[in-house]
Amino acid sequence: MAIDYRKTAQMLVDELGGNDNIINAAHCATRLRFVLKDESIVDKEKAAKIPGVITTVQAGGQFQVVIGNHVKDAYQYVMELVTVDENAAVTGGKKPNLFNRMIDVISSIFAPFLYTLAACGILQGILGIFVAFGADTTNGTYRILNFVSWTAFTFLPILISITASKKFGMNTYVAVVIACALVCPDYIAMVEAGESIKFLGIPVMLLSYTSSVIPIILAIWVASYVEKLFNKILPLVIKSLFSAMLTIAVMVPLTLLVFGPVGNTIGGAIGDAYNWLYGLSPIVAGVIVGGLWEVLVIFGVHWGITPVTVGNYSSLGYDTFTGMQASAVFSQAGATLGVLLKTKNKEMKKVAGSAAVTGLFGITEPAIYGVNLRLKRPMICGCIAGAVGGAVAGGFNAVSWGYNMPGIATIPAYFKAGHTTQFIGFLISIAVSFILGAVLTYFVGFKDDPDDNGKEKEKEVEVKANEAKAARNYKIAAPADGKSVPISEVHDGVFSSETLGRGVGIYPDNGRIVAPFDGTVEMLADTKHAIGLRSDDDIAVLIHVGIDTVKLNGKGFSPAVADGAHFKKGDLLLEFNIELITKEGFDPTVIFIATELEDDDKVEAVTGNVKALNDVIGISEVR
Amino acid sequence: MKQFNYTIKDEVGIHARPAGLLVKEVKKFGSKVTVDKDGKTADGTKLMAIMGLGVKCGNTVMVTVEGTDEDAACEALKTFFEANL
Repeated sequence: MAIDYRKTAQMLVDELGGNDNIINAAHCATRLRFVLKDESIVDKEKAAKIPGVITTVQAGGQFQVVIGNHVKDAYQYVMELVTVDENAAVTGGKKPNLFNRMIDVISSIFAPFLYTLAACGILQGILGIFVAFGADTTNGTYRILNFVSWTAFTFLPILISITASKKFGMNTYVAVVIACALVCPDYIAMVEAGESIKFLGIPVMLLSYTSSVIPIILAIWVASYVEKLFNKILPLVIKSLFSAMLTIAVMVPLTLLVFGPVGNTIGGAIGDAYNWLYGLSPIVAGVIVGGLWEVLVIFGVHWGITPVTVGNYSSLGYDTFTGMQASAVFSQAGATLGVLLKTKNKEMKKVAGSAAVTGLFGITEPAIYGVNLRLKRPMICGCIAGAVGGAVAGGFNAVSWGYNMPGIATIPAYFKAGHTTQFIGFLISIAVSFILGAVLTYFVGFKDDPDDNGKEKEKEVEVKANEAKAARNYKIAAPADGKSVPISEVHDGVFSSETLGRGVGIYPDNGRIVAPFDGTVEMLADTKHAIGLRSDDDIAVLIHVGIDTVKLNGKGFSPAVADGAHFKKGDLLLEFNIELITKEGFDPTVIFIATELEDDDKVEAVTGNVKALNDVIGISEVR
Repeated sequence: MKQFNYTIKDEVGIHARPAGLLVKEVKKFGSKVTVDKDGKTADGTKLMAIMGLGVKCGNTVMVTVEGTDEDAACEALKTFFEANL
């Protein structure tokens, strides 16, 4: 069924109140994101029924329209119909309420490096397990790994300054210098010496800013205005040097005098408030957190808690919130398992199977959006199970000892020698959540649809499951067996300069190229040595076999697919003759790159020997 | 809007490398650039689309530039084609 996205765009713009009501429009992998003057005049149900629209979501001051992979077409047509306010694009829209703006700021600041923080948190957990088994803590190996595992937290203000500078729109390097100053060894020496320090006669409160969150956010926020001011008033010739100098010279002392103490007080107060609630009754806190966490996730406001948990690690050394939040995660994964066991619908079985596994690893979006929320009752069962599990976690005072996103892989972060009961309590709480979620869902049941009369609907589930992954980050599997090197080390000036895209070069073990994902052949070179693919969830990659092999003019290459063909992961795409290519004097390295990344997106490559269909490129989108 | 035709002299046509360089050149400008060959049109910022045209030596492509900096972009692209293709 071909959808006319021009028509979709026209109907959508009309439904959203026309050009007058649309302040700004943008799009991500699958959604059109509108900022509207007045969201109340929109009939959500009607908008969701427009052909080509999968569903609509109102969140974070945006009216989001889920379109799927054709979002770019729809966006183009929408842009022909509306004029947008460029300023609104930068600030994220016309003043959504303060709460939504704060959530937006916090999520933009933390999202890009959450996995890095979690990685350090897990490393701490693993070290903890070794210590419990009697590892020698005076040993150099332990001590080095131990301080490494704390580095991301110690220098958290620096990580924050990078993302905050982008969010608030200031020079990233200036922002990083401001953050570095706060954790500079010379300043720390002053704090430790405890002498009284005055700046221009004003006494400075000597606080430590390692691991701090709110002071640096405030500092960069204000610095973005200070920098703009200096850029405006300074003459052009001296601007680039003096604007940075003055911004740094003003902002660092100002932070030490004002934002530091204010931020520390705010951060402390929020943390204290939560910990006070927890202190009243850990069990009640567990019921609330375990039962309602995933509801917060649905509304996208779960980010608000991040500064509290991060603050807990630096002030208490552990965090109680994550200990209970884990129950919410495992219970939804359990509920999805319940659906998997019960449903007779083949499509649903497929979706639930992969969503349950993803959920166990801590990514619950596919489980909630794709399965539980859609069938409604499993979501409620999951919340109930989460509340019970949360109560258990609260009762045992389950805590995590390092920042992490709860899931099977991060369990070590909950372990610490001498706190075994808490850890066992934690394991019980997640087991209870998971099993209860599955059992409740199985016995309470849901409206099952055994035959596939809702084919369109199933598609929607898949798209949503895909979207949850695309919006965060994803991995791409290798298309060939061989030895992988970063693209920058490939013997070709253009590929290695990343002009065409970023990824890896694979020196192939054999002459087979297989599909790294489900997708479509977008381009097959006439000379058969290069093939462009687009995955079903809109990742574009180029596979280019050999360096300069265009000159072979097809000799030694036999494609197994045609231009425009759809394929499944693992399907054979192309065979080539390594011996012939080498004998002709060409380097047979297979270039494998993602071609539609933004400059800020982060790409990690797996190097060394790789097997086809194992992950080789990891991409974290920064959008 | 500005347009020009160019006949490819490079013996292997517009393959991955020149296509990548072309995309890079196009992205320097704000104007919308399209490359046409035998009725097929490719967006100048899309690597795959340009490679998908399958432009070979001797083929003639039509380059269309439209936008506020079209004069500069058009000149730069002409130079680019002369130098690389």
